[in-house]
Amino acid sequence: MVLFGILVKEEIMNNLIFQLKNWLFLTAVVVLFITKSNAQQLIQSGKITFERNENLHKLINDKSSWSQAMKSKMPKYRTDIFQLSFNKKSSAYKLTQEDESPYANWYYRVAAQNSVFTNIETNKMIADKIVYERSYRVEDSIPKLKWKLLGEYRNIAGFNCRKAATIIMDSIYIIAFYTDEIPVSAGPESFQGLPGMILGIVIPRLNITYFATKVENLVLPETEFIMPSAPKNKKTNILELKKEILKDTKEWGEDGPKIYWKVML
Amino acid sequence: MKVKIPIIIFLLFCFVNGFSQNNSISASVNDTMNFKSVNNSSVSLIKFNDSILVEHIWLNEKGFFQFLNIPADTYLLQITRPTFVDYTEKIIINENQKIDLGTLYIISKANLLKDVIIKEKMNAIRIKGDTTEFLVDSFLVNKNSNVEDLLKRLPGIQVDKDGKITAQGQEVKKVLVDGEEFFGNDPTIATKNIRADNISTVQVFDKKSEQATLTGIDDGEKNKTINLTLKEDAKKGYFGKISALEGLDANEKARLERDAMFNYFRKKLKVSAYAATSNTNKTGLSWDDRETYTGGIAGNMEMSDNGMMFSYNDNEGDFSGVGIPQTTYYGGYFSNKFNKLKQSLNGNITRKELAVNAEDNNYTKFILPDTLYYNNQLNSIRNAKILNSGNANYEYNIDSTLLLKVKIKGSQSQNNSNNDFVTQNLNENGTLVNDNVRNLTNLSSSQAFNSSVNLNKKFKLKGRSLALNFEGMVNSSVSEGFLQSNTNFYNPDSTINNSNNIDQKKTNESSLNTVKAFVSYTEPLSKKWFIVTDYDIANTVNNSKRFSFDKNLNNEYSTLLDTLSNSLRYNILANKGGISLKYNTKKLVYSLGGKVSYTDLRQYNLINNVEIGQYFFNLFPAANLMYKIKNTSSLSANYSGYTNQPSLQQIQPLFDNSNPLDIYLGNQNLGQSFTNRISLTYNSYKPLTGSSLYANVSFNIVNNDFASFDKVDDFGRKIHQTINVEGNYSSNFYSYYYFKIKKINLGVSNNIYGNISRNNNFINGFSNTNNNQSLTYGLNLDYEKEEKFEINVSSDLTFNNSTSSLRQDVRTQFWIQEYSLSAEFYLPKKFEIGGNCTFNIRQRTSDFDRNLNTTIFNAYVSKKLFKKDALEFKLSVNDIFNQNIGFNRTATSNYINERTYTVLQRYFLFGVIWNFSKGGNNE
Repeated sequence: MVLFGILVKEEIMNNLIFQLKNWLFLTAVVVLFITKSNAQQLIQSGKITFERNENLHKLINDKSSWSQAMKSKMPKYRTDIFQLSFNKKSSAYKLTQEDESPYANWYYRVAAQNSVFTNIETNKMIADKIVYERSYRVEDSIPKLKWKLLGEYRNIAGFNCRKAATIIMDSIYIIAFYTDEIPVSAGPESFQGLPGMILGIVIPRLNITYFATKVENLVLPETEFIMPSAPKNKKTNILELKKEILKDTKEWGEDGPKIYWKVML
Repeated sequence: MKVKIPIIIFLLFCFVNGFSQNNSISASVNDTMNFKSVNNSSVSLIKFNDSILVEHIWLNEKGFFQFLNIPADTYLLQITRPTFVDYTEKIIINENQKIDLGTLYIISKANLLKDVIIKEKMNAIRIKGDTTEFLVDSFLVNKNSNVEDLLKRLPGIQVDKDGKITAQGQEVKKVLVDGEEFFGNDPTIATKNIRADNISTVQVFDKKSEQATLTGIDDGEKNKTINLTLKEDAKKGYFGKISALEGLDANEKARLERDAMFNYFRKKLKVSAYAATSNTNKTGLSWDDRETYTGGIAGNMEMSDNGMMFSYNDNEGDFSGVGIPQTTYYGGYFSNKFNKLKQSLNGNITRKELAVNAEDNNYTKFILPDTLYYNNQLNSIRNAKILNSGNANYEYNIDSTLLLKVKIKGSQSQNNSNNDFVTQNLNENGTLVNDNVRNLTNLSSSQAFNSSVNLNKKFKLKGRSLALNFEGMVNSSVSEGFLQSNTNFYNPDSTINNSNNIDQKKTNESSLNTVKAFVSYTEPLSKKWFIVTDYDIANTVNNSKRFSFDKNLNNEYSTLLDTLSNSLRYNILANKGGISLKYNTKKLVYSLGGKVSYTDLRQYNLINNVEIGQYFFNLFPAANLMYKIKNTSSLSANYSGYTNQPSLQQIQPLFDNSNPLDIYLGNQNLGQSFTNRISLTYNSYKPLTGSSLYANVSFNIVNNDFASFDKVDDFGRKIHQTINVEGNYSSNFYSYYYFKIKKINLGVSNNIYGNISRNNNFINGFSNTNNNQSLTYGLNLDYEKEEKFEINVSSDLTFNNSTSSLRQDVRTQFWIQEYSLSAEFYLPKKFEIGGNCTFNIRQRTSDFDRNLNTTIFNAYVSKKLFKKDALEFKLSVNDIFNQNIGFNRTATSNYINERTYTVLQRYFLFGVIWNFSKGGNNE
């Protein structure tokens, strides 16, 4: 037998093949183990970058020439970047980069830069919301949503997500995409309670979407989940805020509910 | 412990409710290969009938889970883990049942690959290239069904109970409507919300990824896509309006307002035509009609860098409000969009015939150093004008960074005027110094054409942009007219000292051509700092020929008057360059910079071949600061400075005798003026509280300002000249505060306007300083109940104070008060009644001793009929008390003027308005 151009004895050869076989087997097992463990490495702590897209054109409903001209000069979407830090116990969602485009309909863009911190274990949340001239700090338990699981799949930021849907405030249909590859029941804003991390939210009625663009596997210090104090913000809870916004937008005609829904997301 | 407390509460709750839910489901989960941890696998308990998630648990290392106190029902237990096949099992749990499922095994996906995947066979349908197309009408569907129901009927397409669409064996990721995304990423939004009978065809194809479409580089990623094309008649139709209102005025002269309008639309195409005629103050289309039938203000809208929108109004040849107009108005409008809405074209054509007759009375008091004198002028105005105009705008979004705009505008007009003037000048004692009777006729026609091309480019580097603009204008006009004038100058004893008669023909021919180019470039220095540079160059050529002819012996106007005739050409070349530094953050924006311009102006006298030239250096420094205090409030400060050069008329006027009692002299030594303008603005809007506050204060200080140097000569003629003076300034303050008293839904708005100014001039060679102050306070209350009534009450109080240094004994002070009340009530049976009443109280002073108080009361009643209020009957009465007068009072500089003029008084109109429409919803 000629191996590497050298004539070798058959015995030696057999021995070599045997050793090679053993070695190959071992390697295969190790490789298999590594790939398996990689595939199985579930992210339990880290940071997720979300893009919040709002369709600005859809905000303008009236047909006046002014509005139509404004529409033609505005970009269709406004994109703000948020970051969700999470571990098994807590999540912290906050704005990291605001869209610099000046073309935004500030009148409709309420509560578009919320910070939401949750404690999954105690089921508590703290949210800072800016609604026109007022800044609120909402402290309450995490709203319990009645999710309907839909047998559909979608890949978001490299993660296989499943689809779920719910209706909030009796009228707003929410579509969520969650992944069990991140075994944490959290998500953007105060959307939670699914068997996995929510990486996508679509709110057709309000023309808003949230989609994850990047997921980082990181160990985060506890300080990451401490809500910065905001002594100037008006302290309230979900029920009180609801009452207040409903009262103040009562005379706003068709816009009233839209503003109210956005604030209460 | 954490788990136990809720359980106890829950048990207590169950106990109170009289039944027990002491049931549970438990199991252990294991991997089939038995060597991997199942830690963090997800276990969900889902209601079987509606897929609602009831409970959820993350598995621990041991893999044991238990759901406690589950209401009796049928569930689906689902265990999922990445790279593993979902484990699902139907579980029925009854009261007090404890289910132990033992050990459940989950299987890695790798083991499942052996399974056979069955591919569905596709029914062959009409295929165009890579697109499969279904004609909807051949798949008859129920009228009220939606697109989802329709898709279910199409061969090769499946829709499952959740709305998921599978076409040709692949999941459909996108549903487009007429090639555009209907909304977002969920295809069901379109399929569930659009009615099937509005769809013409359903097309199925593979769409390249957005990345590939954008970059042009095919990344091979393709998604199954469905495109729904809408039926033409779903967006095709017409609407229009015919209205005829007829009536009489106080002099029993017929008054009318008639309109006919029509609009046809198909997809993005809009075509309108309209005609209107009236002899009331309505001299064009109403705001609403302009919006509906002419594209509104869209063509006149611009957007600034910071996202602010502003529009400009160019209603050429509009009615000024003086006199009684008679109008006929025709027009057409066209607009369309093509090429996936990237290109748009719109255009307007109009013809307007406007005739106005008016009597205009001016009563003026002039303040002289040693005396006063009075000027009374009565003008009879008869004007007729025909204006034909057209414009077209084209926009092309070549790509997301490059925008091209082309605008073309042209007009042609004819003007026929015949005016009579009677002027009297009286001295302090009321004795006549001179008088003049004139008739001036003029027949002119003019053309104007204007076009511009604008290109805007944004670059990859954020903040870098380039704008280019080219503009050309061609204007020309020809006119011919006659001046007949008789002037008498009186002796102190009222006998005529001297008379002067003029009988001349005047012709005028002029043209103005301008070419302009403008470039602006912005370069980011960092994320916050930008440098903005611009340059513009304009060349103007202006020709003007003015001739005056006296009558010759044969009574023909053929003797050219050299002193009143000239032929001139102006060449003006202006270069302007600017640079500014800009700082831009969320909270703070400021900029500092300026512009410099160099202007070369040449005047050629084509009769005597004399050339005079002037060169100007002008400076335009500017600084702006804007501080955003909060989302809803901001503070800004602006400074701008600019030079103004004197006009050629001020330096070397052309002799004009159209008013023989006003004579203009030139001043060769006249220099530039420089204005400093500073303004501060605070703006706050609180939508939730329902209040807003705006305050602005501005100062204008003018160095070396232009001022009149007037003399009244021995004959009582006014000789005008322009000189430079120091010390002129003006300052304005405006503030607006609105708040809502929520309990009673009453809106209250307050506004204050104040003005202080100082002006220097020379009267009969004496230096004079005029100080004017005025203060206005307005209060407006609005109270409304939706679909019931609207009531508005407002008041405006103005106080004027004016002093002159030459005559410190004369002080002019007066009040003007205006109160108004308007109300509209929406009554049952589609009746509507409304009215408004305005009281004007104008204080009489020693100078203004006539009673000019008026009460203007307008009212209407209307009744609407049929579906969509298609028919409306309307009766309206304007100025019920017949007291309306045109009025204007000015107290400034060296004179005080009160002007009254003809306006339309009481009239009523009765008539019908018919709105009609057919077809689908227009965009």
